[in-house]
Amino acid sequence: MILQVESVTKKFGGLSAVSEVSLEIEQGNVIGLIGPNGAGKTTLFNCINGTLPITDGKIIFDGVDITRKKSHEIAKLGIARSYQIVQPFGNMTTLQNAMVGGFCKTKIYKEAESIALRSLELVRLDHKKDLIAKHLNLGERKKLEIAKALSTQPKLLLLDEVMAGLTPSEVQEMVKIIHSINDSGVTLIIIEHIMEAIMSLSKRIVVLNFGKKIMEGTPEEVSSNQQVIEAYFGVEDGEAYA
Amino acid sequence: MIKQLILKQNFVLWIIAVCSVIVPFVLPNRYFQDITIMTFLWAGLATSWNLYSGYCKRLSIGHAAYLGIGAYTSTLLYLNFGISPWIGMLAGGVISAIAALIIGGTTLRLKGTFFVLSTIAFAEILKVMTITSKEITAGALGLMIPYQPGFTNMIWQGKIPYALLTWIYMIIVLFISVRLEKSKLGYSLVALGENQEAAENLGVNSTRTMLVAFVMSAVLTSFGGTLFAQYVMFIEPTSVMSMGNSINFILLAIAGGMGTAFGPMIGSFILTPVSNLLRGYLVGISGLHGLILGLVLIAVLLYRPDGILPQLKLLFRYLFGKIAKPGKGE
Amino acid sequence: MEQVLQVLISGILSGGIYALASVGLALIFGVVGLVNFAHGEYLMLAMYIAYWIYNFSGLDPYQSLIINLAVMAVIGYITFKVIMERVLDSDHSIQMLLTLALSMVLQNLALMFWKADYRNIRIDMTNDTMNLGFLTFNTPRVLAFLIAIGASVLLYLYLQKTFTGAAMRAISQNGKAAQLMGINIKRTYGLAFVIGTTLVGLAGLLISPIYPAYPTVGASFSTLAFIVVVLGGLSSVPGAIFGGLVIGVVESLAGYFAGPAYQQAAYFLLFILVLVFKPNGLFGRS
Repeated sequence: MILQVESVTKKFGGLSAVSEVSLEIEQGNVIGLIGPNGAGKTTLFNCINGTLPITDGKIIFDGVDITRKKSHEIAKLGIARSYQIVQPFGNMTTLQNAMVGGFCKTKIYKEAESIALRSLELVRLDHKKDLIAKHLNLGERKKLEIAKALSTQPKLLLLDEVMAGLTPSEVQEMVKIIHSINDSGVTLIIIEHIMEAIMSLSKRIVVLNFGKKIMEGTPEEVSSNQQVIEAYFGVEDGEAYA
Repeated sequence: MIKQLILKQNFVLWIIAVCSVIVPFVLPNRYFQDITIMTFLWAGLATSWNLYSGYCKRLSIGHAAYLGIGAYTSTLLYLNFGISPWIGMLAGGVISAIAALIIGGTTLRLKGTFFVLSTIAFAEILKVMTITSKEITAGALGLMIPYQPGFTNMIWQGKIPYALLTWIYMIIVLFISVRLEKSKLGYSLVALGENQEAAENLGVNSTRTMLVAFVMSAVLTSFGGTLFAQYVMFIEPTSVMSMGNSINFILLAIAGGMGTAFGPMIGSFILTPVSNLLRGYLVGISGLHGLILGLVLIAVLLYRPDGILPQLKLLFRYLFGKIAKPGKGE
Repeated sequence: MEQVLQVLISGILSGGIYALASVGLALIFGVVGLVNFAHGEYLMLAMYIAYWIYNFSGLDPYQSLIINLAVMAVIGYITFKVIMERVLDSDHSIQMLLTLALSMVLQNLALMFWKADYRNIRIDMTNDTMNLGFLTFNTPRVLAFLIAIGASVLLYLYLQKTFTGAAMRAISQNGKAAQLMGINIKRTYGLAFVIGTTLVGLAGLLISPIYPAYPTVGASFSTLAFIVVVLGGLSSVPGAIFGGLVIGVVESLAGYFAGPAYQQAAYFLLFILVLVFKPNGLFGRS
């Protein structure tokens, strides 16, 4: 097991955004994390990578208890994440953006540079390496988001809706990119609303609703489960058909 | 291709920095040499300020405190114990480092406005302490350094040694700045300034990064403080620790280009002579000189918030572009 | 004991002025999100305007109050239109630097017009005192305190009871949502800025009979107002009123017990303690 999340709870005031969620991932696996808006998916990411301190529970990564660790320490241990709302360092070039991540495990400029270049190649953004990041378009920013995370040379990568807002052809490209990331040995947890993509990428899928894990299984099991269909697609107003 | 590489490596800017050492030798009189020394000194100081605040986009409006620590430490050691200002300068650096560690430790985690205000508060407290500790610092009266020329006393008869000394100071700070831009610390610092949370998620230890850069910036500013004291040979709390000095660091850095290694130097190369000459010529109308500087700053902020360095680089590109093949734009 | 009480009340009287000088800053910060380092310069301008009017026409600061405030409002409006409006969306550091530059310009303008000399307005009332039991007070200070607190409370009521006031509070809490609700953001920003500069101007003219005008008089009030506003929780008007009183008392007590030189150091120290331990202000909600 590379990651063990043991009944993690995160409360904001009295409200539980995530309550008693447990999950385990094997090395090299791809897990899809789905659920309606506000189900606590992004909050769970924030808990795993240390952006938010958790209220209760335990998180073990690669044999190390990371429950109380800070996000930069967790990044060094090998968990990286991308943001749903892209967060480029706007005034740095694409390459420099990735190099910030590249410096995660080395102090040597040349090494950080070559790590960053490799990640940019992997997400097919190397041809824009000298462009100032704020001039990238959305698709490119999403790629940059992944390249930054990859440059930290993670063992586990958390991808938060990297396909939202992309054109169908961009989505296809992104699916390929994610496959190749996984092929290079990185374990992945993916939050995604685009069902087709997530079903094809993930080996297992975890469903969250109102902060609770309501089911886990193979894509087939999940898509045929009545409870999931009701929770996710919503019986009454049919939200999130996308 | 080579020409473009040269441009990228700040080659022309290095040439300007290095060649500026000729200026005091060719200038005809002490007045202009004095301006040159001030230009070098302020270039070094503004570059030191820029090391933290410029790259990290967190304004310290209290850096005059470190200028003051540097000036007072070396001067007091020299006057009371006869310790050479060279050693006093290092001692000032150590005290500044300690002060910056304490101040930074308490305030660097503060966000935006709070941080800015806390830097002012610390500088003001230090100034008040200096004024009130009359037994040690002579309070508001200030301290006079007796004129005893000699290398160990860091006092010379002519202007040239001072010009060389301040030039070396500027070059050292510049060199550190350029190195910083190519280092993990520099990348982390700029990333923090852009987006702290995103930077931390990429493994940037924000507390350590900011503290290291803040201390570096404080220590280098403090060295400048000693040079200031040795050159002017008279220090008082209001001349070294005033907020006006802190603002001048910022003015020079922003005019040239904040967050770039050479920006503050270019800012000083242009504004320090202009400001000194204005002060000289407009001596009859007090205030006009400050008014002009203020208006320049407003104009820069409104129309060229990145400073003039990008413009300058475009100019170099244009000049070299004529020689080299037209390169692809950025 | 009597002396301490005298010192204490004297502190409260100064505190009222500090409160008035700071509420405008809190309003501008809360509504416009602007850290205005030139805030104190408007106080300085109002003092000089009072001085000018007094010199040319003999009208004392109280008699010229309306004209003075009108001029302050116009000056505030011009600075907003010419400078501040252009940088509303800019980086915070750019905004701060711009207000710093503005304060530099205004200070030096004052230096050009009036030189560095201290300018006093000596009206009949300047040295008047009133007695309250065994305590003695300078009449202009009492008057200044009363008007200052009155004006601050009026501002508070304005924000609570009127539509525009409600709009300002809405923007202060959530600018985007307020815009969606149809509030004209830029106009409200402008209004808040003008109210802010006018109120600090009022503070300036209230102290002009007892305090000399000089070009950098505003700078010390700027830092002071910042400290007050931070103590009060940055954007809170009642917080700023209370913060002003606290600073007045602290300053006065420090002056009495430790010596006048430590007055400033005392409130800076308080300020840093608050920043470190209660960054949301003395009674800020987290």
